[in-house]
Amino acid sequence: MELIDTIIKALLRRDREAIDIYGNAGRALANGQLQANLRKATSTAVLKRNEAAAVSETFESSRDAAVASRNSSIPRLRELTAEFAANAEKNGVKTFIFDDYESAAAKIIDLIKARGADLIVKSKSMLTEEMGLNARLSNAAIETVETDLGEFIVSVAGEKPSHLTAPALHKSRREIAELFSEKLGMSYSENAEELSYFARRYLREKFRTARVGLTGANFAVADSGLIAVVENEANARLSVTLPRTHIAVFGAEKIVERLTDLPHFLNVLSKSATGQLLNAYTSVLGAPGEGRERFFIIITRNRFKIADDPVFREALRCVRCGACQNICPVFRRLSGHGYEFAYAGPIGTVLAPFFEGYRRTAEWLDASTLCGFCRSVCPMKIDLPRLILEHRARLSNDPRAGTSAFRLAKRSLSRIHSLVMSNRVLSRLAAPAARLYFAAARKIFGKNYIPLWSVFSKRDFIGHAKKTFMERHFRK
Amino acid sequence: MTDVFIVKFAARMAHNGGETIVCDGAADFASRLLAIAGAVLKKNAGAVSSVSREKGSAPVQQTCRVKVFLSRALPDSMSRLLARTLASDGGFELLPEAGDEADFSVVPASAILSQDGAAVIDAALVPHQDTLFGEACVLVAGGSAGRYENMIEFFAAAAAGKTPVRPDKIFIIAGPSKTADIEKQVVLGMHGPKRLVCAVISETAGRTQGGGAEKLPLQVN
Repeated sequence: MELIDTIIKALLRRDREAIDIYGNAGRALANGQLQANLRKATSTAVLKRNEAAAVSETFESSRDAAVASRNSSIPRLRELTAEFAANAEKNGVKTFIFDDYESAAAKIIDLIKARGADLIVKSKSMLTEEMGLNARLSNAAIETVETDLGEFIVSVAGEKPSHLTAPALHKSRREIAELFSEKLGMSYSENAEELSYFARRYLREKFRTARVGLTGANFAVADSGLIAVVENEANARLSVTLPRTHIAVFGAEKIVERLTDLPHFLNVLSKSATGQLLNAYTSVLGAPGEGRERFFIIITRNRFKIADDPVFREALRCVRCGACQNICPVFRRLSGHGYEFAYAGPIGTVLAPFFEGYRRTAEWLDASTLCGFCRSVCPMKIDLPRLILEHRARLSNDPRAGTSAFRLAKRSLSRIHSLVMSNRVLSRLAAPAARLYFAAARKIFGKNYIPLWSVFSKRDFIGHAKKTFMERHFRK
Repeated sequence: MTDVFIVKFAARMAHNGGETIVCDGAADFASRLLAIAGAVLKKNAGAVSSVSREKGSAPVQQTCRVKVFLSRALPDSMSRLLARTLASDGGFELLPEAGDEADFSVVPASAILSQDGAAVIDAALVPHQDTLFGEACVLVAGGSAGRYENMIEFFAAAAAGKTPVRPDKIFIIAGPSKTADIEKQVVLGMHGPKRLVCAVISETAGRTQGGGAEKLPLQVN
């Protein structure tokens, strides 16, 4: 019998286009070291966030102010992008707006090559992950040195960041020690200080030789053409100070309307991201200064599409703090890598269908418990569970996503099930019939076997209750 | 002696990993700086003696000196006073440029934010290098430094042109350079200074008797 299931499973292959989130989950759960790393890092992050939010006098009021600011700016995103660019140009910063990654990357490569540079120092940017910039630069023979410690670690490991603000969250001290001694020739040490200072010394040289520094931006201010970069390590400041040329690349969703809105965003970001009252360094950057140059590259890809969508536009409020990831029961076990997309966790679940399409995210959208923890910690009060449900509804109406035999079969079975269960007579008959069946199945197979169950469900079937809830409730 | 504003500022600064010293005027600050430097001197001496054990007779006297960088953005009178005080002690060396070899650099702050435990640096006056290099960074908030409850007040003032700091030159420091990328363990001095000291010079404190604290305005402007 189970052999038949296996054969059917093989015939009804899952859509290979789709991100194999359940397969990834199985692998992640089997990796005890990864589970321990995730548990430790995410619990610490949640505790620190709660503490900082509780200490602050202004967290809640800034939260409201920031949400209101985004609500008024998102519908005007096109206009504000143009306003920002015009004001930045007035400050003497050359600003370029691109909708596609290729042209943006080509522009960045041009700028770097024109300065005779083949090495750039880079501070953390999720947008560059989204656009695959490092690979594009390396194809153009430009070496990119990641200078944020976490990013540096994953780049040495040849991996991608697994978290919005803590890219190496999935790695243990021992794994990093092994990595540094193997790949960089550091004498083996599991001491976090020694590992960090080794990276400091290694990167110091790169800062001194690089002619171009590339950073992201946490916020861009439309009314004054300025950007704000927040950090703790000082690597972004080194990237804009030591090299003569600074390129900042960021998405249009980072634009806030007024300078007076900015502190509210900085206020909620530092508490939500790292549980600090304020991150160590906040730099507001505009005019490049004597003998220096600065460029802004703004990416609009999918941003305007989301801004135009009345339901999903609230997702653009996101400040990329990672609080939803730290608290998400799925993220905390799956790890950021399991999502196979730059933005993981709850906010990634909401953004990914716009970038990757419903076919690729079909299984991912099911991988949420809808528990609502993310909504409660989101500094921008994004109703993530509601948006995930909305995606599921749109997915079921998306003809391109539902074409695989697997999804069709799954959907028909679920239709039959809901028809039976929503019919009073049929469901009354079904329950005793099921009980009879399972009694027999346990004798024959030794467990609650249901034909085809393992093909469609990732969970074990634990069996029906003896009595329905209503029966138990009304009969004393 | 100190008012509620500074007490909160110091507590929040400590939360962020920085230290606060409250000084009665510039002369007091200079002597406090000497004390900080003395501690560094002792530490360096320890480090050097361990080195000299390995290398035999190293020029202990020379390597022992504490290297100090005074930002050019400091008011002239303060620079002169600090230079004089440090020179009188003998164990110091003033560096002409900010650099990694500095034991500490002294930089003026334009405003302090109490709830955030942070200081605002005017990037138009202070080059980024001045606060990036060296073991420790000493920020000096003199009597003319603005006092704000938080960033929100400060940005409102900056946007309205009510502070000397231009909006595009705002640079806020809250604590030393740090990272927690390895197992969430905090390591200080990742790319920048390991230690941050904020010296708040309150010129009314000490000068007046008793009720001096209340005379300090909570917010300048």
